[in-house]
Amino acid sequence: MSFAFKLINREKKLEDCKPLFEDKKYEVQLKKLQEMVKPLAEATETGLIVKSEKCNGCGNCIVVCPVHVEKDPHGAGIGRGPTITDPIYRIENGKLVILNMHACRRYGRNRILCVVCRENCPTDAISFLEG
Amino acid sequence: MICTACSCLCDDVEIVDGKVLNACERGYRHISRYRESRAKPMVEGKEVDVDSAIEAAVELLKSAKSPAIYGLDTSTVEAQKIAVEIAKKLNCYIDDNSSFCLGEFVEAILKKEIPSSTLDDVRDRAYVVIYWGTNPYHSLPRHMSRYAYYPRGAKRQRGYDEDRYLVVIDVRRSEAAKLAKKNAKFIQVDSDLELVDSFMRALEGKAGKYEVASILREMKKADFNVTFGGLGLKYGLRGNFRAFCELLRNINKFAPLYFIPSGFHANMRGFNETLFEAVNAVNSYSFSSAASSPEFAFTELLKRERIDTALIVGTDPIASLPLEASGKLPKLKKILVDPRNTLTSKIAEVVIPSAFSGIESGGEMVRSDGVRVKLKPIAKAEVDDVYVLKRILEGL
Amino acid sequence: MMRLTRLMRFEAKIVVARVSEETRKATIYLNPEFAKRCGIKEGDVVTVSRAGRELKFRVKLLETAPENGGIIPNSIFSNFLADFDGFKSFRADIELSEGDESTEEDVISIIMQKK
Repeated sequence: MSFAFKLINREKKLEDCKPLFEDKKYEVQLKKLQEMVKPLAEATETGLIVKSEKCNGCGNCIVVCPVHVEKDPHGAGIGRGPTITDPIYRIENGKLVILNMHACRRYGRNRILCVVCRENCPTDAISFLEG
Repeated sequence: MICTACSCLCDDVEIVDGKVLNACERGYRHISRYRESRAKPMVEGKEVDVDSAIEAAVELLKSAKSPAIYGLDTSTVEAQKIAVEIAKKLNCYIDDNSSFCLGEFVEAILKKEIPSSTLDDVRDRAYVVIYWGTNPYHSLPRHMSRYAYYPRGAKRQRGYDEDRYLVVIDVRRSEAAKLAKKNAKFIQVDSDLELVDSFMRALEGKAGKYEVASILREMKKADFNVTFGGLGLKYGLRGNFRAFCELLRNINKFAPLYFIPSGFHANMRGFNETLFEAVNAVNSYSFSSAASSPEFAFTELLKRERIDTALIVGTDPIASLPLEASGKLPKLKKILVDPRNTLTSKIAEVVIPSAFSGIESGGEMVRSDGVRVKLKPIAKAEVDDVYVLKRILEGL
Repeated sequence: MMRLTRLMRFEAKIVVARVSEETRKATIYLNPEFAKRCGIKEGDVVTVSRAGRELKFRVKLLETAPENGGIIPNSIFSNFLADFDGFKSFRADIELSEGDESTEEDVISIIMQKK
């Protein structure tokens, strides 16, 4: 079970389980597992996924982000375009684009499971891997 | 640059490396596509040069028995002023889209019959924020994030979930309604007049169809609350605008509640204020009668077949008016001034290509809350609304 | 056959509003539960009629559409069916139909014939 958790947290990769790849009798399971971990590749390291087709650039996520409020109180933190060079994300061509995910509170070993951006997206365009 | 896709007139839009930054999708589409599908000068379906099209327009207006000028909500204040001069010269009708949009609300504000404020003040001070009959998510995407609800303000430092109380009133659970979660309320309304009545009753401590006493209690906690009203409110009142004004008056005896129209075309309020400065009316004006009246609204003039020629600027009536009005368009001579090929350009006798205000042409516009902005275009077109209307005025 | 057709006609509450999808085609966004009850699926074409006028719309499903009805985006199509009394919201009849959705040209032709 612990391997499974490490897999989801991106601490280990499928390739780390050698028998899975080397032993022919695990072929079916390997294919299934590869399908299941596909979304992990799409998500950022904080597990944040943006469904672009649902995003209309309303900017709610940008202004509610506690990191933006702290780091850019006169720009992104107050609903204006970011004035710092490294916002977590911003609206480009009408859609949310992630720029610096490592600044997000969900990132790294001391992560906080902050969900403010998702909670204030009116169309559920933002989701997290943990569901 | 300042985005001119809607009346929010966001001034933090930038274009960097070919990317449009900070504008919402509506703004992005408006800014990135301005070179597409441009109108060409036409007379009776044949392409001509701009000067010939303008001459043809002047001839049509000179020989008209009952002309009208219509549109202008995406034109700058400078262009709107010239249009008013043309209407004065022709002694004819002039109207914009506000006569079937939120004109009466703007008029009540300009006449100081209802209290209003600015979006900046809302951001800094508002506690209860009501969206009544409007879904800003689609019509004004950045309204909540840039101005009214989410940003911390000078007196609202603790942010939206503690320092704001959101109320969304709509006939369905819209995207905006979904945001009414903590410290908020969604009212699914099927009769706005009954909701107005419920508020009036609640002020007297009586129960009504809708539960609104809690909203009034929240308002009492603060010295600044605001209602943004949209088309759902306007049409929900079924013509009884006075009932809404009376409600605002009564609520204000109890707690401060300001009103700002939620939003509309980029410079609709500019037209209202420009015409108001000239003749003390916001729309539906007749220079020959020297009066404003609902019967002088462009849609009414069409329905009653009272005009034979129309100078249409920056609007697409065959697409944007109900059939009872658009069905009468074939009966008149139409001069269309527009930067883009629209459905109306297919049926207009004269088409004069113009420029996109705010993108290729500068000037002044008025935001939904009355704040004036000076546009910062990224290109320069010679033939814009001001150029065309000036030439028409000179020719008359 | 006539009786069957009448059974398949449903009254819907239509709200005229903006949606994020950009389309020049006649599209109606039905509430998913309402569509299910009427036996209408995404991609179907329906005839929407009101006050003696009718147009064909392509069906899409949208969660934020009103219960018991749908949204038609502000367009030449919504304005063909609406009048100022019911500018933003009206009741209309919906039934499953054949063929393609109406085009802007279709509506313009009807309007131009009113000379």
